[in-house]
Amino acid sequence: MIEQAWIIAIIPIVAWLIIFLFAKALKEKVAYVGILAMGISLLLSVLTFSEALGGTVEKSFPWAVVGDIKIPVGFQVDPLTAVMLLVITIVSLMVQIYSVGYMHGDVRYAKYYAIVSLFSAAMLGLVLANNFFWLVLSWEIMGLSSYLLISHWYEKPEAAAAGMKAFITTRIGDIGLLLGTIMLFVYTHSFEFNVIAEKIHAGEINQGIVTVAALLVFAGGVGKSAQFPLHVWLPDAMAGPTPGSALIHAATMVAAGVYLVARAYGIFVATPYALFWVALIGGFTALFAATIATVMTDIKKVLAYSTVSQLGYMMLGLGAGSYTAGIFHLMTHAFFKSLLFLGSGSVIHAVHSQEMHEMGGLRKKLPITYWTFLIGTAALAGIPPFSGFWSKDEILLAAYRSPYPVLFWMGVATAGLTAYYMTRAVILTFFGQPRDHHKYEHAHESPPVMTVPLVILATLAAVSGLPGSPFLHNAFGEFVKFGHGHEAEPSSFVMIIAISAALLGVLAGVAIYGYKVISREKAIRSWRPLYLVLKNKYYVDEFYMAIFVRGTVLLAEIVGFFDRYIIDGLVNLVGWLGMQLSFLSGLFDKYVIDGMVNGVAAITMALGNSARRLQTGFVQSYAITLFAGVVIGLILIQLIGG
Amino acid sequence: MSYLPILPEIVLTAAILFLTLVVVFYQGENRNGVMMTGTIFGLSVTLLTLAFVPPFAGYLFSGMLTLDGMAFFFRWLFPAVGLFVAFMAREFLEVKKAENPGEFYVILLLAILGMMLMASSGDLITIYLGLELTSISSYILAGYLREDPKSGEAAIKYFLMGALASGVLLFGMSLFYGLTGATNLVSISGILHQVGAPPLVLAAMVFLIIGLGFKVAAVPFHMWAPDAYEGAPTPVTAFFSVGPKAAAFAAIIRVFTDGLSSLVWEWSLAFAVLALITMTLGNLTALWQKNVKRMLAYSSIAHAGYIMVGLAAGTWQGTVAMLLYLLAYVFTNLGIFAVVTALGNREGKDELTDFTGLSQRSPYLAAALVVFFLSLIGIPFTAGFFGKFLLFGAAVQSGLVWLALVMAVNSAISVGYYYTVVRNMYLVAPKNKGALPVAGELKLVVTVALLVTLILGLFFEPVLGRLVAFTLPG
Repeated sequence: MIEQAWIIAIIPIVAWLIIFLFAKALKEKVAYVGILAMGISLLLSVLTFSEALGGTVEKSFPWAVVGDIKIPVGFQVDPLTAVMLLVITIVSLMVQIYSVGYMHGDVRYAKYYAIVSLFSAAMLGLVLANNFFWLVLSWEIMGLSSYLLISHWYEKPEAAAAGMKAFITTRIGDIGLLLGTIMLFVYTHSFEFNVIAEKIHAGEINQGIVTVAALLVFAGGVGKSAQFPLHVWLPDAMAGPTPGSALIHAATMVAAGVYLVARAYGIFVATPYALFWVALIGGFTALFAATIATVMTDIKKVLAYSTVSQLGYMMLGLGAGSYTAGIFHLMTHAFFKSLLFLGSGSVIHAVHSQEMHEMGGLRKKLPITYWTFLIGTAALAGIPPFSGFWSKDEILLAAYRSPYPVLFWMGVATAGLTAYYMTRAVILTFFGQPRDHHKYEHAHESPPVMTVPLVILATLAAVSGLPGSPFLHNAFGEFVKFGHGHEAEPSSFVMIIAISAALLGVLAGVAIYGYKVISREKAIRSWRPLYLVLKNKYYVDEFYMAIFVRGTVLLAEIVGFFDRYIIDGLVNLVGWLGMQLSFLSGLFDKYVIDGMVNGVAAITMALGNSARRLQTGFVQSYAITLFAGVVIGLILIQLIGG
Repeated sequence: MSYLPILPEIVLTAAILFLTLVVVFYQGENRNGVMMTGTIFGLSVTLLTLAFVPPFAGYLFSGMLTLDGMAFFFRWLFPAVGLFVAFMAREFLEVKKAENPGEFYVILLLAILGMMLMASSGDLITIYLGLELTSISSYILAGYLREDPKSGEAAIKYFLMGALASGVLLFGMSLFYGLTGATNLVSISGILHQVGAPPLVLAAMVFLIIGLGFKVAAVPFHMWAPDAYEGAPTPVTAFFSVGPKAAAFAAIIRVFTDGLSSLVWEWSLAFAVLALITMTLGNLTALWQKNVKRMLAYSSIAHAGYIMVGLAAGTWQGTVAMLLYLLAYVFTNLGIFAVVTALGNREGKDELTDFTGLSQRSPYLAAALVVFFLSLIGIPFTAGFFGKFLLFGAAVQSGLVWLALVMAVNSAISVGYYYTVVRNMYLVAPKNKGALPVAGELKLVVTVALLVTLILGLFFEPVLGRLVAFTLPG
């Protein structure tokens, strides 16, 4: 199977086409098409994975050869790809099964399934590509389908705006990726990851250029993986359907940025400067987003900022030099975060609200959702032996062994905050007294089509960390590693700190929200400035609005102003001078040559008059710019040229 | 001397003469349709003969013409553009009750003949002849709707400014003649290689850059374009945005890469600056337009800026990228204008608000327009992507990373104004309800443009390979 692994990406495209073409005839049966396709892809991914344990495959042939431009088509299956294939197909399949219940009766049911299939196909293509060219193509298709998915309910203005915001914000990063790709191509004459890495490794490329190219590629990852300062789109993207969010924010789009850094790791390791930035941005984003998550009251917003924060964690792991740790966390996070999103969807389905302050006490009403959500929380909070603990531990270990201890403490603080805000979310949602009795009365557990995926994902969230634990002899690290891999020496200090931070966070959450040892209102009052800053997400959106959006508007206005007033003014001035001249010549005619040349004077006046009429038009201003251009051009070329 | 290589031009000229006679002597009710058929027939025969003549005849008529690969590309492209415009014109002329609809086609063919001449020129004189034939025909086309004051305004402005620019251009050409004693581009190139770059040569070059820069509507010589585009009949606007513009680019490539190759450092720098301000101003101003034709005028200004990036690169890779981009841009833009024409024929005002609810009134046109916009933005699997990709590559290769960056930022800005139209089509309730009746030939034009846009996006390799073979040095 591994020899034909590309089929895994083709199957969902076929599903997309079928859904697209027969949407009207199939109605809600389109779901089966999508699920069946993803099921087959999952099966093939499992086969591919088992074969990948035996060895790596790479196949490539030229698609377009033009002069010295060679554009290849090719795929590879190495441990990284094999793991990604499994993660994507499992999560996508669970999301699609879940959506049968969640999206039932939606106005654009078929469109939803079509886009989910396209989305999955793009992500699968992205991890299979063995070269930048196809990676960028898949990347762009994913950007487009994320726009469509986020603005699925485009009647809601916030959904339409969020889709647009996601598209444009990520595009800023995409530009970097595109430029980085082209730069690497120009200097290595190849798009293929392996060839590029080899050439860089051989020292054929100038170190400075490698650094710039790596940072440009990283910009793409910053955009897609919602890292600071391009994180703003992700929380808004919660306006999309919740299962869609689970897909975007767990296994596909946001993971693509982390995957990109891992895939291009050969470029990053060649320049310590680039890796340092990856670690710094990752660590900062992790901490930054975790602090915001502590004050959000919308359950999906909590998970959104948590996602931003956890992606930062993965970047931190990669940047700190542990390829294995970053990918390991990517995998465990995909399972527990999609579980949490789908769980929150189940809650929203039950109470028709996303505000945690309108929930409370739901654990009796939604037992399956409650238990699975609790497992997801434990995994995210890093409570042993759930999956998140093992992967976080590896990242913290890598940060601890890196030359920058500050990264380690950033990670520890994030771990504590994570445990805190997740405990808070669980207590507000499932414990205590119902705060909205009407909503509570009408809440009921979701149908099995939604709860079964939750149970499956909960199982994975619980156990998927074990391959990276000492119990299984760190099998994951043996399989997914960069180069020969080098095991960071385990440290009981790191493990103790990690567990303490998590427990501390849980305790704080329980103390404030469970037993109300510390009054929430009082805390907010005494820390009001900090609370406001967090509540407003550090005012980043406002800042962007002020600088970029208004700035563009202002620039356009200045351009318009210049067009309208300056050039027109210039013309009018010339026109006025012309009029004065003709007036003077009129005077001259009238009084000096009086009478004799009345005819000439009349002609002059007529000319002046017609000139005035012409001068109020625009054509003259155009002509003036033309000649001004000539003059300026002549001056410039003599200054620069020669 | 054999006249065989220029048989396509001879066929086209014969068609023009014949159709002129038809205009004079045939006064039947359906003369609009008859003339359209005749035009399409004439252009088709031109294209057919082009397939049978030797494409690379080299220098002809004492170097007056250069029939190389690039000439072949444009000589093929321009009659194809003519076919599109002729199909778009018939219903438009009928709806707007134009007088003498027949003459429209004859003048259109004259402009195409001029464009073909420009692209295959080997001499400043033939370039100027072709340019004037195209320009004068264009002035008339711009003012074709005599009853419409906006159309008259467009023609007058276009004419006045065009005449000035022609003067500037001609002055530059005369300077070159004075300096080198030659008008032939190859001879000029040879002499310039010996004399280097004295100040007067550079001055002459500036005149050429500005004269031709005007014709492609490069900022700051663009001001005529929005007025002319807005006022001209919509099929003519479509024609302006692709035909004379592409022809002027052909002339620029001829003059600068053939004739002034020794001054590549100087002119590539000039075009880099022009590209920068052209795309930025074009895109920023487009954001604020309410009239769709005016918006597309600024959009086409911006695209001229992108294309100039290929000139700024100053390499043959840049030229290949320009040609591929032009190809993608021409067909995409023609498709867009076909939709605008279809809508304008019914709604009449070409305002952006006319597009409201188009997805319900004509789902096909709306979807096609989205694809066209994606191509203009440069999304993969549409024609525009590879063009942009190659332009980026050419710029980076020449060390112009900053320009590539500006271009990328610009194409992000352009999403803004294209999105306005998409939003109107899909998210805003229609102003006028009911299905939009669309003439068959407009549907055909849209479909062909759509196919070209998608096919070029997927299978660009044969085209690219041929373009490279056309432009490879030596």
